[in-house]
Amino acid sequence: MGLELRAELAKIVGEANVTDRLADRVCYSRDCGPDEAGIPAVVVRPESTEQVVQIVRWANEHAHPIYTRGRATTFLGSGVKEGVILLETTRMNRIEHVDIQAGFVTAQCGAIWHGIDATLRPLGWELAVPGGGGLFSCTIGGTVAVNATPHGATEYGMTGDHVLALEVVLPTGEVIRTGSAANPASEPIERGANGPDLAGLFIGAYGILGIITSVTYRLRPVPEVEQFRFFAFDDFRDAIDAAGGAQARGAATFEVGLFGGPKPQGETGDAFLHVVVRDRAQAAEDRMREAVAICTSHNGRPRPAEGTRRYWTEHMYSWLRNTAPGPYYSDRPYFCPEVAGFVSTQGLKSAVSIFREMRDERSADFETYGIRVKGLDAYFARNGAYLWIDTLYDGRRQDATEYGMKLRAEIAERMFTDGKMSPGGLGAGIAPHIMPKLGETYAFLRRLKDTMDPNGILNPGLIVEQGT
Amino acid sequence: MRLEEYRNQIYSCLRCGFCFDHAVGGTEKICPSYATFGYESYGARGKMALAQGLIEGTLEYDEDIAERVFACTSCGACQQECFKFLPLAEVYDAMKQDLAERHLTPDGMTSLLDPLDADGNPYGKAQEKRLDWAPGRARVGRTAEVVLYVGCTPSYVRRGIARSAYTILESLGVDFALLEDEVCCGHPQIAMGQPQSAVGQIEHNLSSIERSGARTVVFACPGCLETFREKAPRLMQYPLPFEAVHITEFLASSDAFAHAALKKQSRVVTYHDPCTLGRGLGIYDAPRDVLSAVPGSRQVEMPRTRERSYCCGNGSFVRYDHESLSIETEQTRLHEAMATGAEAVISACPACQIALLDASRREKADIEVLDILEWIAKSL
Repeated sequence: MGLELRAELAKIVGEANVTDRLADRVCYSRDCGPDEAGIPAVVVRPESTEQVVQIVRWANEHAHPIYTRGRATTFLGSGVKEGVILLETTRMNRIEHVDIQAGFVTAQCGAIWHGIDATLRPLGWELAVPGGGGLFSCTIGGTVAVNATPHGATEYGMTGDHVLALEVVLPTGEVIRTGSAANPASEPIERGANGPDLAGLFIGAYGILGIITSVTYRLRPVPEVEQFRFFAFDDFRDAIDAAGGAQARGAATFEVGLFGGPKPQGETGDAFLHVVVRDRAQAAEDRMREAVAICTSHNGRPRPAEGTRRYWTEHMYSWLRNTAPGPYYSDRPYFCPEVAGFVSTQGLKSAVSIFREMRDERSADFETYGIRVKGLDAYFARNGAYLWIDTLYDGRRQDATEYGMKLRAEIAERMFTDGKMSPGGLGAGIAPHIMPKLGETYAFLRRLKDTMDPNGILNPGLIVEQGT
Repeated sequence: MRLEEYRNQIYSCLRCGFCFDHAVGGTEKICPSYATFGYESYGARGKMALAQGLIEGTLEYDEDIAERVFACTSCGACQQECFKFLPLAEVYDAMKQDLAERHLTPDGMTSLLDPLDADGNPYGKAQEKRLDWAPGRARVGRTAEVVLYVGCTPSYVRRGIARSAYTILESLGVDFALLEDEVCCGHPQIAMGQPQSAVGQIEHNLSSIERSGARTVVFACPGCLETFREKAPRLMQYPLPFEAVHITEFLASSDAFAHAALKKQSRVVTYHDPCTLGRGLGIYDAPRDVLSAVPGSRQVEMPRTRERSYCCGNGSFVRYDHESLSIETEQTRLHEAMATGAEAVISACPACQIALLDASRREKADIEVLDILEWIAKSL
């Protein structure tokens, strides 16, 4: 089958852009997360929407599943199954149109988020959420497909909030455009045009309802200044109240709370808050003054903010702790089965306490299996907080791996119920533990998937199970 | 399996993909091999996945893996960007050694071994012609403070570099010698995963240098310098009894060079950082300082420069098995140089010059390609 499959796909994309060599295929199994996955039968690299359409149509005719992949920089489990077609989008990397006056950029799905930003910045503009929430090499299509929680979420919101239009290849091979872009005579300037918000159907859907082939995204001017502050708190509840206060006042562009894991280098306290403000010079001055006043009124102690600046400018996760990746991360064969989701800002107090209890209850197991807590961190969003619970296990140990994955499931389920947390990051690792708990909503999503993808072609089994 | 020694590092790969693109913005891919072939297996993240499969026994070394591991210019860009500071080059070296032990070194590269054995250089040129470029025998085989280790490529292929180095040192009044019996430094064998087969050449050169009494050895070729400075002490397990420096380091710290009356050259030039000299040995400023000494010229930088410079495509002898990789990469880099508007692109590595000249001739480009020593020699 592999040879025939390769030959058929080569007719569409050319010999050089499809491979069935094992040495190539094994590299397209996992994402950054810990979940083991299958090895695809072929990897195919289209360069155009038309080629994607042909691949999808061929897969439908032959009932052959496709998994779509950009740069696979999520930690959530891409759920690739053995023997599938792996459609890799990074050849579709053209920045197709930049319209500064209308404030948007249109790029093919495989364009790298930071690469688009690097193209826009000399013009004085940037994508409406810097970094997109993914790692550096995340693609715009993948980032929108998982609706990543971006840096700057406190002011800018979620990645999907700034999508103006999508071009999508449906599971049956038709190509649709959303919002005003659905009108061939119009431009992609408004998502809420031409009927229902179809873009919303594909944002955060992990590619199960269609392959996003092009994204039109809102721009914002590069702000005049960026200011950074860092606070230590002796009671984590004060840190949450401070963050909530700044949130309510719209004082900060980005607030990140640290409620567990190693303390930032040289710091003492129970919790910590990074504060970033980006704006015109005077406005940034005013907003930061207000944020500082709120933090100090909640017993926050101002601390050196170099780590905050580095974290923002270089988007390095471990530098949240003012620590270079080397000392904390390097040479440690640890993997991170993360659980992440939304809670209300005040609900964060309960969620943090629940995880701390879980950690204390399992201290003996943690010792036995060498489990570490990398982080219990929250990106404060516009109306709540996006909590990351990152435990680490030693990937070389089978027993630690099994325990780490079991722990992830327990954390996800406990946080969903007792912690009132709604996962933002799903993927193959978390979805089976959460989605069935959504009741009628899950049933509707399954019906939607069945209706749109009757042959179960696109990312089958990821987020929703079909046909059972 | 040597790869086992790197088990922890291999499992530490986060698979973040920083090794594909510049970490802080930019649309360019940083890995020449990944940029050319497109599949992750040719980039660092993929090779770490292959390494994990090899350790776990789900993969075995074969021709496909050999092709991907050896299709690497050893430019070091992936290691430079690695989020977890993993020693990727060492992992690749271990894989190359494992592959060599299994007789899976690619044919083109293997073809260098016979001439190295027979003639002491990878080009199959006669040893007695090695010094044909030199203006006389006065400095050959004598004792001196400084030895100019010429290297195979300047000795046989880019003799303008050898002559320029000689001219510069002589004009500055440096007490220097040429080795009478210099042979290849061993860089090719190390690049093909057979470092032990380089030991004889290293011993030969070290004893020849010892006879010269030199305290300093200057190199025109970064590959030779890296072999002496980094690889030889590890292989031989003792420190070098002399200081090994790139000739630009030597010049940048030379009073005689600082006071030399160089002729004006009114040209705009751009400097291409050789990967081995820059990311490999951390030498970025010395070549620029040397270039700045020429009055009237103006240096412009390419957008990808210093630690983030892009490879010329000619590292680690990839051209012998993967010509398309070399051609695509050298063209990309030449275009970056041309986009600066410079009249000349100047490098400090014979292999880089060959690659950029190759691209320039193919495209009939309106930019001169020079080695830094040729540029300085013109100013004397």
